[in-house]
Amino acid sequence: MSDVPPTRPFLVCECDFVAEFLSGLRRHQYAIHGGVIGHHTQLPPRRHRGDSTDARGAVGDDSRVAFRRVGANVRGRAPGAVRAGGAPDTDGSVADDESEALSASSSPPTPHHSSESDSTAHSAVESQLRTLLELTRILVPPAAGGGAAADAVPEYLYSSVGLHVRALYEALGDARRAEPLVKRSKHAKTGRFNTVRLRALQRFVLQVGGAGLSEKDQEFLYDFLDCWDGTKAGMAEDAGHHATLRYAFPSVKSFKQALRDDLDDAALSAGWKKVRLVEGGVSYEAYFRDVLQVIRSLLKVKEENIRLWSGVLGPAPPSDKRETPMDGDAFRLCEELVMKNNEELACVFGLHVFSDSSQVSWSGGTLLLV
Amino acid sequence: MEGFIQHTSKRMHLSSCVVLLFGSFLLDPSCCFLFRFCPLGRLLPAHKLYPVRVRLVNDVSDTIEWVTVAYVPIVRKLQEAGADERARIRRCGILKRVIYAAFTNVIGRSHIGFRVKVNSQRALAFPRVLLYLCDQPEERAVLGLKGGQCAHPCTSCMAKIDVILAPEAVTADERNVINTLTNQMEAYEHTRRQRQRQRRLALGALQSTSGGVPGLAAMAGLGTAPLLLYNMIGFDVLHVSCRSGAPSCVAVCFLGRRAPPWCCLQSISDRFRSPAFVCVAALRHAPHWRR
Repeated sequence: MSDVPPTRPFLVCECDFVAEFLSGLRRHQYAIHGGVIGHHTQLPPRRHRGDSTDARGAVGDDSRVAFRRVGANVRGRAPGAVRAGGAPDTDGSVADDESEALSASSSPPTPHHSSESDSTAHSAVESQLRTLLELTRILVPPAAGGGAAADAVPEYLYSSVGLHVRALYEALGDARRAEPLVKRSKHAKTGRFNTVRLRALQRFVLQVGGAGLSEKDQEFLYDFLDCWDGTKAGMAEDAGHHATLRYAFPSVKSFKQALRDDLDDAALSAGWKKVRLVEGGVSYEAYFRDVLQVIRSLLKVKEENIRLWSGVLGPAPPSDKRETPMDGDAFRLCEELVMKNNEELACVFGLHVFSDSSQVSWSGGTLLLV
Repeated sequence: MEGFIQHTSKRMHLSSCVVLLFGSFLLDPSCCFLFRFCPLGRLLPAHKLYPVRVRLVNDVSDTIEWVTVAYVPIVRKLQEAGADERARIRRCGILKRVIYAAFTNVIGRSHIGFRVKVNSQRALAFPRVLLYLCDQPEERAVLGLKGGQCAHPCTSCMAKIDVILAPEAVTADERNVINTLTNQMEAYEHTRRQRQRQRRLALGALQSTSGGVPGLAAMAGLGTAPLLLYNMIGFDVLHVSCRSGAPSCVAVCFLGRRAPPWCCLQSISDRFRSPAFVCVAALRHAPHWRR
């Protein structure tokens, strides 16, 4: 579609008046019928002054329905009623009395001021679009052979591509359905971080790590601060109970150094090693720790829950029971061989290994201090 | 202090957006050093490592706990001729070497044992790897077998690709551990010395082995009696959050994977006798799961 008016517009009034141009048809309708009539008047509704954004959302779910409703209203109005809505400008738009009125009445600066001015601006835009559609959009009669779906979606001719696009997206009504990002809680109390220290704490919570703390981390931090203030119920007291952070770590450097040292100690005590592997001429760095040490640590930590044999004091007799991995054929087979070959009392420590490079999976891993 | 370290680890973990390292790593205080020594935790958002975890089956507590024992670097394709194949070879090589590095002492002790005292009971303990949970590419890499479409795509038996998913596959011969390992060793020695290319290819084609040698084959019980090397690969239960083994969950976990051959059904159900495994095996071998 171009900006040029359609070559064969459907320029017939409901009173069978046939016009050569759209302007002629509109002139006829305003002069004879007091306003635009017919199916092509399925236009967006004019909002009342008190309508808010929420109200817009309620209106716009199915704009076609709204268009039809307004069209019916227009048809039912007395002659001259439309004129009260606005007068066409030279460029085809109209001066909307509602928006004018809203603009003229300057409201005091209240918290709702911005939304009200937004509403006014939106009203002006809506009004302009509505007027454009009213004056230039022409309903195309449904072609023969079309199905019910074709009848349900009326087809129009537009005076310009831009208007067609706007009408299309206005019909979707996304902006009208939008709602505020968050809903203020019923008894919201803002501004409680009102001291220097509390503001610093707030800044930390909201900015640490780039995205701030999650709610779970906020709980963790609160618990920590409660402990740090020495106000946590039932907490133990020692010599440094009232000591400040600066007393223990006089500078940031000493604080970081102490953290680093503890991390080093944790890594070393867990037996982690790194190794550089060259494969196919490319160097890679891998990290590992001795599985045997891990087994020994597990034995220490979980001694209560360790079973040496599938039976009570030795291999269990063959059965169909399959409740734990120790009941599996592989374990029993190894156990049998180990017990057979050694005169000393022997047992098998079965290991399950897991690795998966291609898929992120839930390992079932839980807190374990080894 | 432990708790503080855990928290630090968690924060560092989250801030680096490493999505892969869930589970024990997340809460394992000893893993924090990774963030300092490797670029993973510092700057790069994409993961560069993936974990190898172990579980001790003698631990009969209610909570199943996996302990991370290694981090394997992720090997990506380079701009080179035959990039896919070379990357695959590198990937297999790195995985096997890291696994062997972590299991070196366990492998040694699996032959001679180590003394333990648990609940006032003394015994000579022999560690054994009973199950290796992984997906199919990892499975082929760990065992030094060819991936993708090859003459013998089944890990545990010698069923040919022509009879895969057919009832005849059930009666296929088991993969001979000693023979396969011997051939792999020979091929590897030829590769190291860059000799007898034809022989290498023939050895590879014989049992669909790749150039490498599985490091875990040195473990007692896998490379020695009862020779469970090709039976240790198991269904990746870690991909299923529902422990009941419900078919729907299992089905989800296998979407997008290549279905293993029909002959696995027998070995899986025999080894575990578990409804979940049998169910999975049945699903895996249903014709519409094959891709």
